[in-house]
Amino acid sequence: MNDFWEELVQSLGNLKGNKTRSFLTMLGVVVGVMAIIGIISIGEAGKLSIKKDLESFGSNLAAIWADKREDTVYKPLNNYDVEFLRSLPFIKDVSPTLSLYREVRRSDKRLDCPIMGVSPSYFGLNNRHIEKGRFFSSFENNNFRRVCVITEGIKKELFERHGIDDPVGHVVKIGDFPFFVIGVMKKIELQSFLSSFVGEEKEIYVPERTVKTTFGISRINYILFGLKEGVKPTAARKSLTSMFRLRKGRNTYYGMQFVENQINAFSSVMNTVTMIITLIGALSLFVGGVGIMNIMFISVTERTREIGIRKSLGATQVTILRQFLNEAVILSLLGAFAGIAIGSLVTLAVEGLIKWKPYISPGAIVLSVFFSLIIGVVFGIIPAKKASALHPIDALRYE
Amino acid sequence: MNLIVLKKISKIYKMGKVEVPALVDADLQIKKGEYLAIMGPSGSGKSTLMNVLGCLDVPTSGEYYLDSKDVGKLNDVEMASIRNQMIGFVFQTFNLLPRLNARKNVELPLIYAGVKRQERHIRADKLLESVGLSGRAEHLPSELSGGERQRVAIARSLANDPHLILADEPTGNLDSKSGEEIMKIFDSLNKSGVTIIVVTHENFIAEHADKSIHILDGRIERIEVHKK
Repeated sequence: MNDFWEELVQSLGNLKGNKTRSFLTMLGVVVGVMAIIGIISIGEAGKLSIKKDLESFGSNLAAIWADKREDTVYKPLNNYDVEFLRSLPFIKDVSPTLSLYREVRRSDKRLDCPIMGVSPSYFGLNNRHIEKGRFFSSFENNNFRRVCVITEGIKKELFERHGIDDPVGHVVKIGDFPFFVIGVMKKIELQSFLSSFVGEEKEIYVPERTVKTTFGISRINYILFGLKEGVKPTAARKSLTSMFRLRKGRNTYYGMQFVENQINAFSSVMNTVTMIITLIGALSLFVGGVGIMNIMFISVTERTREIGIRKSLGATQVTILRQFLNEAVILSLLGAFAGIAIGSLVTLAVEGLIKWKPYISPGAIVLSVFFSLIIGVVFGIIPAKKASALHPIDALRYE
Repeated sequence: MNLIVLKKISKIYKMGKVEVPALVDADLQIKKGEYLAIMGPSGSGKSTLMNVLGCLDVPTSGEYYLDSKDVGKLNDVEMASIRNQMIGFVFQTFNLLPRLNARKNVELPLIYAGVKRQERHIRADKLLESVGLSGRAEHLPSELSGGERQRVAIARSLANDPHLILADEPTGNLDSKSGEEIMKIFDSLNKSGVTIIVVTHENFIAEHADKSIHILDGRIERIEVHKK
């Protein structure tokens, strides 16, 4: 028999004749598919936004700092190390970072806050932007100028609260020394949950050489550097480790951190989580499949007489098998489509609620249709086999 | 020429450990174009005989030749094809599919025969017209009277121009007037050359046939020839 459409129409007719039951049977698949669509879409959207946030810090950003382990001695980083890093062919940009606490004053307002001594390349390395004014220049750094760039928190506490909207051009006292405010840094804007880890910044950025001369501090906390395009963090770590051993002595230890590694580590954690939850979704699809099998068994028993009639009219075993298999597959596919529709709506609503870009994973749709098809066939085949194997006269006599 | 040859056909049912013989050593020859009644009280084995003849049931022993083909050697597909092409069934309880309308019911054997949609439609309507149901094609079985349902069933049995019509108590569920109309259809079908076997336990039905085969306790007792 080659009339596929006729078979389909008849299968649909049979399912329509048992609307409530068909719907309840599909429910398991609907829920399973909804779970898969929702979880994968939200998971992927989250992964994308977090990855984007991490990359906004500069994906080739890295840091090195002096550290001490049980069998090593602490040997701080110095200016020669900065120059050495700057000279390496696989490094793009370098900025030492010195940090200290000082009291900051403007007229009678006081604030204790961290002072960051950095070089001008720090801002580019960190992907930071200016809101008002400008960053300081190499000239200002090299000539120990007392200029500073302030952040959101400082602007609020020392200026806006007291009626000054534009701090640029004003003077603040850091410790005992007056500094010109030449710029205000733009806030870090993140879209993922990472934003909750980044509070309001209350730092003041000052040229590192000014810090050394003005405050008499020369200890570098860490050196930020950017890897050139295409340089692998693992390779950089390896050569830097051996170079620093040569430079600083075999009994020293220097810690390193690479943003790219962080992104990869994060991605792999997210992948694992997505996989586990998808597995749970697949499990509920499986349970839905068992539901389909149950109903198909009941359906075969109820329609034993129909099977007998069809066989007496010339239906072969294959015809009957196909009829019942069709019904199982239609049930699971209808369930899948309903699940995709409802799951997508729910996903979009959730994404809207947490203010993410609307995103439905096409992979999840393909996956759930494929899964449901398999489940329809796998769980439909046993009842269908039972139906097709019925002896015509036994089926006809069935009451 | 013989359409049907039965050689020592037996059918034994096993009920637990007890063997119940429903048909014992049945020998029978039926010519093409014959009109035959199978008679006997209930439980005599007449339905079993009809089921074996219709390739719905497989005998325990013996040989059955239908149109010179050894039915015992056929597989599922060949058996299905015989039921589809060679034989038309008419049952006491009509056995229409309740969710399909009259036309769709008549189309079923045509679907299994692989006839295209358009042609199916035309042939089904012609068949319904030939049994006097031209206006009833869209009706569900539940919307038809008993006599009308049986006429749909007859139209369905004729769908693929079978050589043989097997009717198992076709008037059993009908009032006498509808029953008489059904028998008239069989009579005219036989006149056009179709072999007809009717299972019945009523004499006035059997009298439509040329011969009656009387069955008792699974054995063919005697064959009675009707004079018309």
